[in-house]
Amino acid sequence: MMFDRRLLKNYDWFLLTTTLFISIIGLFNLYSASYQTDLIGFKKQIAWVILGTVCMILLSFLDYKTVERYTRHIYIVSILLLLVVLILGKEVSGSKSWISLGSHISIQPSEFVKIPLILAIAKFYHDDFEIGSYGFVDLIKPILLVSIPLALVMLQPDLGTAITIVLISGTMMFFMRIKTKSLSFLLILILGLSYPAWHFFLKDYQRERIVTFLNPYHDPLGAGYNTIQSQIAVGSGKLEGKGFKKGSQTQLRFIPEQRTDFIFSVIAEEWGFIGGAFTLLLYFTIILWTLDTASRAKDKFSMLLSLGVASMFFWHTLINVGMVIGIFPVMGVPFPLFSYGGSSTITAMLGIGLVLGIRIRKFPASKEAIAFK
Amino acid sequence: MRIKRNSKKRISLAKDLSKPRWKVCLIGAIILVLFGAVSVRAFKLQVLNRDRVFDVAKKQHHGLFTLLPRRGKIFDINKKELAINVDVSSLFVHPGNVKDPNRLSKNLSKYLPHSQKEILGMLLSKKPFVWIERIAEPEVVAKLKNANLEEIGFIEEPKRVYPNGHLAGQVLGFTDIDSKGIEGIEYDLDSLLAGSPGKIIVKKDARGRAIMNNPIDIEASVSGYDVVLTIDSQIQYIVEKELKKGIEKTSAERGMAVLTNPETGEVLAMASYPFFDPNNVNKHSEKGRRNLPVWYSFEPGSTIKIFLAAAALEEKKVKSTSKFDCENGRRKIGPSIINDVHPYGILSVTQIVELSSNICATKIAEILGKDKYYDYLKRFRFGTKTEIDLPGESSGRLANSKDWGPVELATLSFGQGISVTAIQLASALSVIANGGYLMKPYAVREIISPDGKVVRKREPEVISRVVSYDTAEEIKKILEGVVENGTGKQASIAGYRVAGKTGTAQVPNPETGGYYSNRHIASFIGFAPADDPKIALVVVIENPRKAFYGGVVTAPVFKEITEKVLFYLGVSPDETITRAKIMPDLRGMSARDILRWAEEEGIKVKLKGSGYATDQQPRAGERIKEGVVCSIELKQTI
Repeated sequence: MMFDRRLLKNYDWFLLTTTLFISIIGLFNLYSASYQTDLIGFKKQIAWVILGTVCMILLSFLDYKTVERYTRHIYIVSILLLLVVLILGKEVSGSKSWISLGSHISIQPSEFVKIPLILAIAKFYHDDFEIGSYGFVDLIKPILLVSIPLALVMLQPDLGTAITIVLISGTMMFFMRIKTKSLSFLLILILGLSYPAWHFFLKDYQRERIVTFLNPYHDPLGAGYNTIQSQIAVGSGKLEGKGFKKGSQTQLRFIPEQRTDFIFSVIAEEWGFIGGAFTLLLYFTIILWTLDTASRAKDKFSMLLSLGVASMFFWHTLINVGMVIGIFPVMGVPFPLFSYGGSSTITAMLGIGLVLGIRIRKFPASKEAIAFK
Repeated sequence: MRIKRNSKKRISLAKDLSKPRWKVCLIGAIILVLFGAVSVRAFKLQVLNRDRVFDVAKKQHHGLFTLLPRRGKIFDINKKELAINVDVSSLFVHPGNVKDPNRLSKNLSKYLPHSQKEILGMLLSKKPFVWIERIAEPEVVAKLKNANLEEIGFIEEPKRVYPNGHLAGQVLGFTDIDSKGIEGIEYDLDSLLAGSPGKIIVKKDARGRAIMNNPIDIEASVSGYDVVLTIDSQIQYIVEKELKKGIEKTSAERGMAVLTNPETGEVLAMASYPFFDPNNVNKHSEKGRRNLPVWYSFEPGSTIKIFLAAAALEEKKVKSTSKFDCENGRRKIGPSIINDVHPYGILSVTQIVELSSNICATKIAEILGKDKYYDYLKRFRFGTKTEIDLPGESSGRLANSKDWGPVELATLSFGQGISVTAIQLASALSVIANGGYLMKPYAVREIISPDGKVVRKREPEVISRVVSYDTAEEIKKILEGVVENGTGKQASIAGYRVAGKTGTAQVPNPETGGYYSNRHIASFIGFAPADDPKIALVVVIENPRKAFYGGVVTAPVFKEITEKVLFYLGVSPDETITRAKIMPDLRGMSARDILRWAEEEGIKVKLKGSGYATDQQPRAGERIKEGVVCSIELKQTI
């Protein structure tokens, strides 16, 4: 690969620093949530952030066209990983989501699969030269592309990831022109499938989560506990928060999963509305920035790719924060770059890496490129 | 990955990149809206509902336990301590931090007065903080500290101690284990004495365990205000000692005494027998904790005649020299017959009071009229609370004069059909002693803040003028006569002018509506020195067995108390009286010895007969008035 000096000149420092800034805030926050018990997770997370940053930067220098070329391979590898996890994965609280690599590291392929999925959908759209709205038959392939990982994730089962997969791919497909008829058919199909899904795919605890979401105080010490406790944490943070390492709800470990899915409650309690809103603003910036990348993209692939990354960030953030403050049911969706966990951190950073790669190549096509066209 | 389809509509056009800007905008808008929703929700939680949620959070993070504040001390008038605090250790554990509850409970049961099971129960509690023993015995604490049991924590807490035991026990009252005032001054001034409690804040985690590092946060308590009473513990001691003596001598049931400064209304001593030791509350019945002089109302008997006479003199209906016929001890009023203890003929008002004739008292009351009499009784504050600053005061009972018939008026004239408290008597008596003013009695002199500033100082308070100075002086003279010549002779004190009045009342029997034949309330109320009263004293003894007249039962107690208190107060004897000699008991002395005594004392004697003295005039203990010749009878004995 030739190194183009323009890449450095055009480098999107803003997106890079914003991402790193979020990661660093996330580390501080994680420290506060874990220093009372053990710092092993915190130290691991530092390693993940460093590793993720390296991957992100390397990926940004790799031409996305190269990525596009290998999309099929990446996709197949990720599907294989999902199969491996179903066979070899270790079961944690009812779900087989983890492949253990030694005693200290385990990876969660269902997190990683989002990137290959985004790539695959983008590539499908990119490769489709035909014009006009998509009919239902045209959609069979992308639906298959989505359905395979979705089904595998459902088998684990991992409701949170499954929902994000649906939402991300749905957002991306929204950009393809779909016939109204097909769209309504699809919606009816999804609704029709949700009934058997409720009965056959969802496990009891997942059904319970949805029920308690509707009324958390129904069972305040059982299923509604998380929702109530995280709302107490957020609410007691008030406007200005209780201060770093001073969140009593956090320090006294009232919130299970406070280092992973409920990490936002820590920042909201210790830094208050101001801190929480500031954090959300940073994510908002990244998302809009990525969306902006999409709208300026030179080709369909990069457009849909950025869009996919933006929607990944968006849905994760929205669902996670919504869950913490009690407007969404509890489902295992990590807060990208904040929640403890290597898979989700690296996935998020890879996504940003792809966007960075697109962004630094957004400058007018080089003369050679124009000539080529 | 290409799908080749030959659709008519869909023409392949690779370079055409449709950029649906509106879709980007739409997505942006949706993002905006959803983020907006999240922010609104967060705002609602964190800003609008913050306090409610904050409280919920606080509640579940903090186990709160109060720490007793240092309760204010109670001092007597000379700043001697009547109620103090001693630091005593209390033991606690954090049950969540106890590793081996079985072992610890076995260990603890060796030292503490609880069974192992009981202690184990406490150790297995789900609470983050449990008291094992509040206010533990010092020896136990020392042993436990030596035993070095890591999981046991000690907190110093103040315990209320009354160093003088039962001294003024009923006045002081007592507190419960949490230092909350239950009776007496402790109860009445609890809000001032209490201070504000400190807090032990135990942070607890989601499992209710206390957090290991820095488990306890102690918020210091604020000390209470000190209270200075008007009680003089020295005087209180004298009063209690003599009251007890008098009660034991007559095998009485109970008794009470109030000693006030008649000029100011300050209560210098207030005693109730049987005594009450606030250090051992549980040893006493609830009744025994009552402050009788304020709480207990009784029929006063003849002491009321003081106020009858005062009213009649003030209204100028009688003079102290006015004569009344005592009808030889028997008078019929309506269906009732009034008796005198001794039959008398014609007596002056002075003599009526001195000899305590009931019959003539009824006549004075009739001349005064029931409305006027009622009016004066009201003005002396009978039937109304004196509003002394002690809790549990009763108002006594005084029926309206509208409801009095001739019999009621008659019985009221000698103190039946009315009930009064000792403090009411003391405050009415002070009117006579101080020249006509009704003072509001009080027992709390000063309130002192923890930093030593006097924040409230009680000043004497005049309620009203009840009688004129002249009337008061006239009654004073009459009351001096009671002690000198009348029923109260046993209250006389050598060298001092004493004024007083006896009272003997029957105890009403609520079952029959009449009176018990064998139960009496003997009383003596008086003040000294008569010309410049320093103290007014009410002594009441209920149900004496050996004798029942106030002149016999209570007058000696009055004398003993007054004599010692006057000495303690440094009131010097009246010289004009000192010169007047007191007749000793000469009986059994030889004529020669009597003459030698007479010569030394400068007293004229007239001897009748020869041998040894068998009879004498004046009697022993009486004052020898100037110019009087003592006559002594002598008889030859074998």
